[in-house]
Amino acid sequence: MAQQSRFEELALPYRDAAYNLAYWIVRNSDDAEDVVQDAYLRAYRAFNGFRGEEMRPWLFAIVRHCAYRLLKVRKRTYDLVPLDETNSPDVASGDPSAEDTLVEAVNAQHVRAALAELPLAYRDVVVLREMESLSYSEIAEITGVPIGTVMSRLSRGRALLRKAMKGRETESGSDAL
Amino acid sequence: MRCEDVQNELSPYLDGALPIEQQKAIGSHLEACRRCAAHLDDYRRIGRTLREKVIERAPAGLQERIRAELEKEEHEQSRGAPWQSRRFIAQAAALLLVAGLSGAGGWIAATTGSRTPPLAHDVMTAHVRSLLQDNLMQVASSDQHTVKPWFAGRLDFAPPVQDLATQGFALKGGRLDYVGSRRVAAVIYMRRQHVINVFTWPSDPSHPLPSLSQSSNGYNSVRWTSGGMVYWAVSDLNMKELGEFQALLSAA
Repeated sequence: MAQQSRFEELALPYRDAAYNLAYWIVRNSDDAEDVVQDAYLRAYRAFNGFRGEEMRPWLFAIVRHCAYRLLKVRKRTYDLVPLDETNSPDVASGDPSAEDTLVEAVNAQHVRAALAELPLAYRDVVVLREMESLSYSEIAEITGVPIGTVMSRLSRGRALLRKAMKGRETESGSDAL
Repeated sequence: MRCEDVQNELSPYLDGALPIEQQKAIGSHLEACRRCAAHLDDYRRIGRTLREKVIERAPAGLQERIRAELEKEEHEQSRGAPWQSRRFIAQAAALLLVAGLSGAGGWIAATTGSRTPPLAHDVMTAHVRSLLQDNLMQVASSDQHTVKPWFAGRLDFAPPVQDLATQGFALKGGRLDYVGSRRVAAVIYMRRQHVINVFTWPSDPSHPLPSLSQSSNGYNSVRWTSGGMVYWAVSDLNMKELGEFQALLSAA
């Protein structure tokens, strides 16, 4: 019992964050909830091997793994790293609207839609950095890629989000909030 | 530097992840170039919107469902030789008790009713967790002018941060934490070797929290509201000095 309450004490406070991560990988609330429950159970089973390193990256790695597994099981089409990732991320240029600034208040619905459409490899890195404020090395630990890759995916992810926002703003005029 | 090169590095620049010379070079370019500065500002505002408006919250009851799963797991693990396991007997008794209560509502009331109030529990847990792991501080600085802006991009309120080093309470840094299912500021101070976590969030006028001071499990805590903010200081420091600390913070 002591083990269980220690686990609950360390891991349960992150349930909202774990759910948010799962949600933005699987993009639906029922699946996200299943993923979080599954992940907590797996984390608990592995808790004997937990040696007091940081709970959050450890738990998030499990959540992410469970979420990807669910996507695979469902055989959903999901966009892994696009081939052009290694090319220079010169997304800033080329887009005629890229020089305009976004209107003062960023429309939350537009950001939400833009994030949902972001390729998965960028989406989870953006979620971990922008929403959970994790460090590059923590994100590298969670996603199992080198820090340099975290950095370039985040760069590209942010640039794609901004580009998508601009597209949406032009479409709908500037009816942002 | 050319604008294109600057814009390609804005993401790591924003996170302070570039070598110091490069951070500086981009910083001075941004002071001179409005276009690149506006680009960075877009990143900032998108990030802020993601944090504040796009984040998903766990549905109600998820915590209870996770707990129930863990409970079941414990139960199944001890099924090997149940009659030899004292824990099994205790759990079986607990399960019988739970079964006797009517429905989930009764179960939740039974598991939460007799314990520490959830908010106090969250605060205590956050304090202990911050000590157990190496995540006491996300921004380590004794300079309030470094700690304050760190929070600015991460919270929708500005937690007061003060340096009380001359009074013997040294500012150590800050961190984000979760209390009562919301993001709160944790500002860390030290008194000798005692860590003080001050959790701060805007008070809810429809649910005012009365001031309180209490001790549990060897930790002391004081809570007060001032200037529209709830403050909750937790430490293993004695109650007398914690009271002095409260007086200094709320006087400043």
